[in-house]
Amino acid sequence: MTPPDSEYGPDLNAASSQVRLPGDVPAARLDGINKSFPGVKALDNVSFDVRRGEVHALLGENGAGKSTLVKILAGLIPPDSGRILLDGSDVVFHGPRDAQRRGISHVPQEVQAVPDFSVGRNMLLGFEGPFDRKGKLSSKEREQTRDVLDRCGASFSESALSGQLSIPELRLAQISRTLLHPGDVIVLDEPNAALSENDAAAMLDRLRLLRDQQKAIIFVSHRLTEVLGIADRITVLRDGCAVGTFPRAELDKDKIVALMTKTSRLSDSNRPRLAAFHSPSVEATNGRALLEVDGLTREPNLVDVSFRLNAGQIVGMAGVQGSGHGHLLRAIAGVDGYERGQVAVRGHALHSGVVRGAYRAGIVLVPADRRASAIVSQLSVRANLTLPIHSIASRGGIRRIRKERQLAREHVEAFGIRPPNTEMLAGNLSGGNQQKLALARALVSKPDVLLLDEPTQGIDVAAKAEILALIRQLVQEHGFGVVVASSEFEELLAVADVIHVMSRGRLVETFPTEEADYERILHAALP
Amino acid sequence: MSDRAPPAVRSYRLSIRDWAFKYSTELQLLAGLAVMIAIFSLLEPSIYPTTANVQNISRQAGVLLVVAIGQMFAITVGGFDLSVGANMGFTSIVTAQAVADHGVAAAIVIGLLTGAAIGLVNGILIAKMRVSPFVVTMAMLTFLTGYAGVRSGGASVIANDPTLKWFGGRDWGFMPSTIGIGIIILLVAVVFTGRTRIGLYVYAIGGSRETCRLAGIPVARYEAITYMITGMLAGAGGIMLTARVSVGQAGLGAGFELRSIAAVVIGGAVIGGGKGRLSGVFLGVALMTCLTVGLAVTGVGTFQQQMAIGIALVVAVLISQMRGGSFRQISDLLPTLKRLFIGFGHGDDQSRRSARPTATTDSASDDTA
Ligand SMILES: Nc1ncnc2c1ncn2[C@@H]1O[C@H](COP(=O)(O)OP(=O)(O)OP(=O)(O)O)[C@@H](O)[C@H]1O
Ligand SMILES: [Mg+2]
Repeated sequence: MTPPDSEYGPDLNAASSQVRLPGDVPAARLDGINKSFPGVKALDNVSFDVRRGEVHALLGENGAGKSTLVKILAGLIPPDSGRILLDGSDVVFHGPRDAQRRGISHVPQEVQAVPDFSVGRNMLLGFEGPFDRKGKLSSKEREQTRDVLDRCGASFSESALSGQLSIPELRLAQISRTLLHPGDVIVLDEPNAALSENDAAAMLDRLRLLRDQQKAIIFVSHRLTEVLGIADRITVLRDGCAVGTFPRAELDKDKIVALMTKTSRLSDSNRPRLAAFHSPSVEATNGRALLEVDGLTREPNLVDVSFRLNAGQIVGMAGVQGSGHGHLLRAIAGVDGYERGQVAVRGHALHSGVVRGAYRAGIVLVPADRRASAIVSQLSVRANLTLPIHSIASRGGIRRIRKERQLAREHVEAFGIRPPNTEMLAGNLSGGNQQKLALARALVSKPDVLLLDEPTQGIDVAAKAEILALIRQLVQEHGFGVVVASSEFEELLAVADVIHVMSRGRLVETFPTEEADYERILHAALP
Repeated sequence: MSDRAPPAVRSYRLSIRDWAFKYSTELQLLAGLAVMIAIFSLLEPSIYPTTANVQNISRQAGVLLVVAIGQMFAITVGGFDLSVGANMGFTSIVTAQAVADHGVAAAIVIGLLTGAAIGLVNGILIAKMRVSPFVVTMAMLTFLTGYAGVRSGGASVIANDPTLKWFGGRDWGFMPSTIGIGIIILLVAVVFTGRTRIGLYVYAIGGSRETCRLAGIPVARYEAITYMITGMLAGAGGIMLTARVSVGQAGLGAGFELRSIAAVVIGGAVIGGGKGRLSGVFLGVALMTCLTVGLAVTGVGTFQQQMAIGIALVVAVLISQMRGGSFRQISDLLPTLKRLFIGFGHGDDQSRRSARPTATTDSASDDTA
């Protein structure tokens, strides 16, 4: 469909006509795959293969079709047409179990775990013997799971309850699960999203080991530095079409971004204005901080954390997995209770563990687990945007549909949600677009204090910069306050005024952003 | 394709294909209904396809429709209500007694309030106290059955009032009053679900309670209100039945709990919440009633009728899941069964809570809300 890109055309041909050694049959090959969803052509005649002993990265903007492609390989969705070949022979998958049996391991983009089971039990799901107990791991199982977790650099125990882990921790557990029983073809859909760089590095080391064991690895990611560090070949998708497959050596960051995006990006000047976004009532705070957190303690995740947030300020919370920065936001928002300490908005103390109270005081949280608690998958984008009760789009309990449409259109445009269809079910958006929707929704409710937990996980490079700029701009114009918890320090350096670093539940260091750099933050954050 | 402008944000129009996909449950139900009516008409040409029979069917369907609409709210918000039948019986007694003492208008109001109060108690226990809907509504069923007996002394209460007859007994012109009331309530419900904030919240809470909580929505309040509506509509059903038979009776609504749940599920709603459409409920009710009446007309025994309805329920739900090709092969069932026992979605991110196990094998089949 897509004509070869003039700039990269020759390379593309070189890559695809590479001489094949005899017997060099790809471990897995997708040939001429088409897949449509109602209203969207998600994949248009895409071919893709992965060989043993290589890491093949799959890149593309949000909604380009990466997850759809790997889901087809993992047997989760059937293609409309096209062939799947394993070691050169055609296969048809009847469901994920089928694909697993044929040696395909898949780490999905969204974390999932049985919350009431321990990490170890979750890792072993589907592999347990007939007499295994739900509550307790046998010493052999314990050893097995501990070993993998250690090697992935997990800071939590195999007997920890999954429901109590943060999103980065769960993600690590999920990767470990796959590494426990790796198939011949390992598919990782954004495994490093929301992982700090050094946690991701441990994981990438494991992948290198697996590559050396002649596994075929497919790696989907938006973090280009890491991709360039590990990939042997790179395929770029754009709007459901394969732009090309390139050896790693031929690409650098800028080239990749150019290949991924062909749309003219919105610049600051022509970015649509959020007319419906009324400035929150940030009254004179009488010299007091907007948000004051004092001695907040919830063992073992939070120990004596104190900080201030002023109106018009963006505070960053940096941390690696297990440092408690996500837990801090949940405690402030009233999702989790705390044992000691106090949270006050404009001098008024809040009750521990009461979401409604925090919300009334103007605190809005964008949680990290978007699928479970940031959006309602079965509702349309428009309905999701108008859910918050303070939304202006209803009067006396009667919804004003035109107003809703207008508001939804504005936010879809401002946050670059694709496809720009306000009536689409939120659950059918791609992962990155769901994340954009979660952010947009939080802003609809006109927060005074906005808490963002790993806000840009899964959002593509270009959109990320735009969204961070948008948040900065809104903060400047409307004077609310933002706390961003992130494992991606670059993002904090780009957006925050002050960066606090957390480690093992404690606030260990504070930098004004001018004085902070990546190395210093990492040094402080490591436990 | 290579230099597109940024896509403009439009309000998308559904193409015919997308529309058919979205409403495939309804289309399948319509087809099933047509086939069924054709078969019964061929078997009993002198009885089934007659005006009298159509009136008979709609007379019965009206009551079920009202109760099923209420049941749909309870199911969509994430639970279900097993007490609707007992609620109908109790309301029937209360209404019949009130007709004698206070007149018809007051009796209807009292009946509706009774139903609503029962629903509200259910709702508070479920939403605020977080007791499971099964336990709460099961307990309510048992309690109400007993209480209705106590109030009536175990006997029927005569409610032979000509005015009351207009609300379930007589016909409005050619149209039986039950279906008239059913359609009015259906239209109100369409506006309620599509145009009001509470209506939106019913779907949102059923879709993700946690998301709503974080969005600052008083989740428990709206959930309780939803059960109250369910109760009120069950009460309305009780009044209609009382008017039809001219007596208040504790056992009047027996069986309605399961029939209403069946109709809603046939109509495409999912136990677990978040999904459910009134058009589906309407067709589910139509299908169930046409089937029951058809079987009765063709002389099938009561026991066999029950067996047929049980089979129809499963078949209808299976068919609606075949859409999207998730049942391409029987072998698909194996992972599904395994998954049921393991209870964990290995790969896909589809609804774990969904009562439809096959949703996990095909995300494309999961997006018709
Ligand atoms: N079940 C579905 N129904 C309708 N559309 C869908 C469905 N699943 C995916 N899509 C659409 O298909 C396109 C590709 O989605 P996909 O999830 O593959 O993107 P992606 O490349 O993984 O993006 P991201 O980087 O955001 O994860 C998107 O436009 C998405 O909205
Ligand atoms: Mg994706």
